[in-house]
Amino acid sequence: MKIRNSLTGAYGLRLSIHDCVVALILAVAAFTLVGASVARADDVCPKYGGTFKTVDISYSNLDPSQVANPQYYMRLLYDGLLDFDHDLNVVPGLALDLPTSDGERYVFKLRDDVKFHDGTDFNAEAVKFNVERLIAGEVRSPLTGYWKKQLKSVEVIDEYTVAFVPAGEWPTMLWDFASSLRFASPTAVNELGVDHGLKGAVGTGPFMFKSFEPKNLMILERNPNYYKAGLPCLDGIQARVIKSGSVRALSLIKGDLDMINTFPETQFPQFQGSGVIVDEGKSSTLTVLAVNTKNSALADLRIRQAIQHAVDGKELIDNVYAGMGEEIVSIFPSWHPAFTVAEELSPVRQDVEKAKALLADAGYGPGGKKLTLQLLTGSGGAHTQRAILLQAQLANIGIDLKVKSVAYSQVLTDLQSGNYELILWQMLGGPAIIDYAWNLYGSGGPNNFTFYNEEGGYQNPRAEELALEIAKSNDPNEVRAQITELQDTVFNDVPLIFLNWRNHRTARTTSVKDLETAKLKGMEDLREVWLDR
Amino acid sequence: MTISSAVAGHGQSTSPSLRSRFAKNFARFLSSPLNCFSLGLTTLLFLLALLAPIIAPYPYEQINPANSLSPPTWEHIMGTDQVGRDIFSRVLYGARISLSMAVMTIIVGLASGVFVGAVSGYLGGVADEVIMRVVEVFMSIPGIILALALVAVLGPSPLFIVLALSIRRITQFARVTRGAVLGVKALDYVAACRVIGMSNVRILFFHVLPNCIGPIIVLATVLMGNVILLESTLSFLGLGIQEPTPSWGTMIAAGNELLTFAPWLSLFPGGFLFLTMLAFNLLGDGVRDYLDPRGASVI
Amino acid sequence: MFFKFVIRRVLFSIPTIVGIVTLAFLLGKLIPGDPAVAALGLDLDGASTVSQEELERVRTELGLDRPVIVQYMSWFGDALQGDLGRSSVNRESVTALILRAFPNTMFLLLTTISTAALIGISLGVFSALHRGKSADLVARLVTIVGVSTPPFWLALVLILVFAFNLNLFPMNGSVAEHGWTALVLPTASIALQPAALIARMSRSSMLEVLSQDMIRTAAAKGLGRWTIILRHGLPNALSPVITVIGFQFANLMGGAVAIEVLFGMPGLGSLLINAIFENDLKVIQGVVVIVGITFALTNLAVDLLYSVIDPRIKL
Repeated sequence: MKIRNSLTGAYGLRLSIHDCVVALILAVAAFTLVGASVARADDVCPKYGGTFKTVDISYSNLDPSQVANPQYYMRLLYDGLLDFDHDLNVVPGLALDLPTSDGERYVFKLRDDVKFHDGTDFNAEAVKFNVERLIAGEVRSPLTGYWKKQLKSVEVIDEYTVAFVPAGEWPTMLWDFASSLRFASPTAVNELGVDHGLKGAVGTGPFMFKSFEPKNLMILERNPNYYKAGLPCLDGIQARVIKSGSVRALSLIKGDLDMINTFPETQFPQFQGSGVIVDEGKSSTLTVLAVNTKNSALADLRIRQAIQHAVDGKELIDNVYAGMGEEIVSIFPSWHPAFTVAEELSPVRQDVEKAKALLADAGYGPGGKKLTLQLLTGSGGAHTQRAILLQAQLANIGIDLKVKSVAYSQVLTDLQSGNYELILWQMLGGPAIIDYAWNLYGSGGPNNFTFYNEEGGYQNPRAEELALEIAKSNDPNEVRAQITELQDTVFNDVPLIFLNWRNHRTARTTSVKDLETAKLKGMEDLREVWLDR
Repeated sequence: MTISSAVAGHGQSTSPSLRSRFAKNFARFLSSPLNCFSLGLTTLLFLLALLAPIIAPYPYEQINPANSLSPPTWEHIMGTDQVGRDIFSRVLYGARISLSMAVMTIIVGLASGVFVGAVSGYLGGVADEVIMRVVEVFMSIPGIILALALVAVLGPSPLFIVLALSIRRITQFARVTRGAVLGVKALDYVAACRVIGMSNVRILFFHVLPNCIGPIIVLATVLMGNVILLESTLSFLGLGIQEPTPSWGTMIAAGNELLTFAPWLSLFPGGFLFLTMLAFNLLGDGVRDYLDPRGASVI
Repeated sequence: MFFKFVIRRVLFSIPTIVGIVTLAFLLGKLIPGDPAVAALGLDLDGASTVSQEELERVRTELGLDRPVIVQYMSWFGDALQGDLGRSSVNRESVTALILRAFPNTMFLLLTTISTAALIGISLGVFSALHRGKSADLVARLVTIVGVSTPPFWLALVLILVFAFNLNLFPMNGSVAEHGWTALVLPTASIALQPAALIARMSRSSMLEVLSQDMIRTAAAKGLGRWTIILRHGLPNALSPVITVIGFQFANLMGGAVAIEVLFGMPGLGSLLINAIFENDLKVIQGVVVIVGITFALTNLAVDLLYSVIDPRIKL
């Protein structure tokens, strides 16, 4: 038990940095944890048992190839070769250590003591099976295209050793392995066919599939043979879909639910005095207006700048987020290692006079043409509320903003197809630098939907150069100068109208213990959560 | 099918002056205090909707984030919403939207339905069979399902919502009209018209249809409440009129998020929806009692 | 004569059902957006990279690349065999999805219509027996208020009062989870309207029957008041009421969709709304087909039942 605990403790710390100071801290931390576990009872959790009841499950299928929010649901059933800790450091999961590289391939040594929920062995063949299934597109997955592009092949070396050959440079490889590559039992997948994820879902994770009705109810039970012995603390998880915002909030206050993590900030007052604990994660969501720079009016830099100067992200924070957000001072969130405050923030601050002048210069406004733009946005709650405020802010400088509300999934579809003028987009980033740089501003960046530096869109070769240089490094100190310059460049070019950072939040009852709100939305780790009731 | 076709029309044996009949009926109609009340309430609602730009203290889209979620006060007698818009103004404009969409739906449904039903009933034979089978198909799918599916297909613009709501109305008007036409067609004076060589079109539209007007008017009145509820339900589900245009259903849904904290958000639009339906249901009852006491226009 | 009517009526429901299946197909052809994109199941908050060839593959898989007429024939043939395709969102069989949701909705509708019939008939008869008195007026008032209350608004009030403040009933969830208590508030929310309409019809029908000779004869024979009402009045008054109940059963769906969504009941309404928001074509079509056929058959049953009760009616 002691040994296991010290291992768990070590995995919880940075392994990616190998200097001796860290090693020292690591050793101290490990000893502290060992000490603590001696002082405690035999078990890892202060208390076992109880079913954790929550909501917000938007999965339509529990196959490991699926992505939806909150992401933690996938981590309940499945594990990856790599895992990440609360600070989003990549740590070993089903692999014994981070991969070693011979310059061409990355080799993972696997744990040999892991079994799938159906009792079959987890081994190198199972890894290969899952990766090939994903890449071959046998399952309809939004991940398929990405993995196919990044990965050349996967090879089994021996029963517990597997090698990955990337197709090219892959700066976010470790994070991608930790966040999106998960393993299901090949036996179960072959048996269930397309129904894997619906009638059953067999992984190695801390919880096992009991029943699932998409868009309604998911019930999981504890995996007694989880490879992290003694975990999880809970007996089971029950997640249901509750459409009505007030019923969600009222159910939590009443104690029918233990936690919710999607609710409008306007509901905060409802929780006051009710004993519910509301917890925030800082600046997880970059809120922007994506601009289609292929659009004839919006291709004009002056018009984009005018819009940027017309909007007031602070008003949105105060009114829609009840103060729970941050103004834009960097293209990175404040918790990110690459976070660098821009020296000149006036390009992304409200300045109505300047906005009017820019618009007039472009030939619009009083005496000129009337500018009418369409904004696509998700429907309901905060989506609508923000759109209404933006509409009023743009009306101030004489732009007529027509708002079209659709389902948020439809917003994303239109965003990707480029079929829009302006889109209110909540961009969920990751821990890597590339998530906020190349991905958004590079030509071919997976999240560049504004055609910035792409064919037909607004061009700035310098931004492209900078984004490329930054993409080659994952150490902010190496590329700090480029980050600063890229930041100033995109603040001036505004392919995205920068609005603000929105905090995410969880609300839970007091009986929920050891739940930490994750840095990224919906990434909470429920393995060590326990219920005190 | 059975009920409506079992009714043998309202035609008297001749084709008397419509105007005098209506005047008489209307006076008789107003002799009941309940009818006066419902007619008054309906008129009031229409007036409020029509005069919304004059009565409303604020533009319905005017935001005031500094004064969001204010409970009812003298400045905002129904309070304000999440972005500080005046609920009273939005409720008034909501009435405009609800009533105009309902009226348009009824007009489209009535015009097309009466035409289809009249032709079907008057011609009979194969045409009648085919039309009635098509009507039957639409009647089998509950109104809300049909409307939801159509709005999903066409998109939630006002025009398409009216269209989605009308389709089922068309079939309802067609059925009732057909039933009434079948009854009137059998009467002697229609045969007399034929004998003197009148054209079918003329007989149908000038001599048969005017005598079928009773159940059609009743249906139109009764359906107003139904259509208003249906439109609000679509909005409530997020598939009706889109923000920032005010709609009662959308307002109730938005208030749903803050039910315990800011009940006025959904209380007032809900209250107005209730009053409107009450007015039209009472009016519908009254009209039915006078024009169609045997309930031919049961829907 | 009677059998001829029954056969004719049953045969007439065949073109209706064919029509419903065709209508559902046409709906699917008009749906906006690319079903293939929806089929790839995009992440709700982030974006993904979907290649063109992947889209093509999904299109082929969904049969979107074939001529429309071929698509129609195969849709029709499959539908006849009970195969309504697979959800483009999660590949689950639509038939399975519907079979799972169907009982929940039917259970809600049947509970509601029974409750509404019980309340409606009692109220109607009570009203008729006290015709013109203040009790009658009150009953009529209750009726008109009932018809005019929007179900989804009523549901919000009921949730607030009975589920949250008084904590008497669950505010969310299915019968499978909470037992019959889960049905109380949803039923109360949508039973009011049909109850009111049934009451109105019962009242007028009862009044008509009470004025008939038969009743007067019975009274003259010295039979007791309640004997007359229960043995002679009610059975005769009920036949038109049954038709109203049948009509109301179909109309119930109108309120049920919003109520299912609001109470988180996994029925056909919730299924349809989810499908619409996710652009899930096959499920929308499937719900239209199943709901359409269900109510076509309900109409058939009501007509047949009515003709048994009242043989004067012909088609």
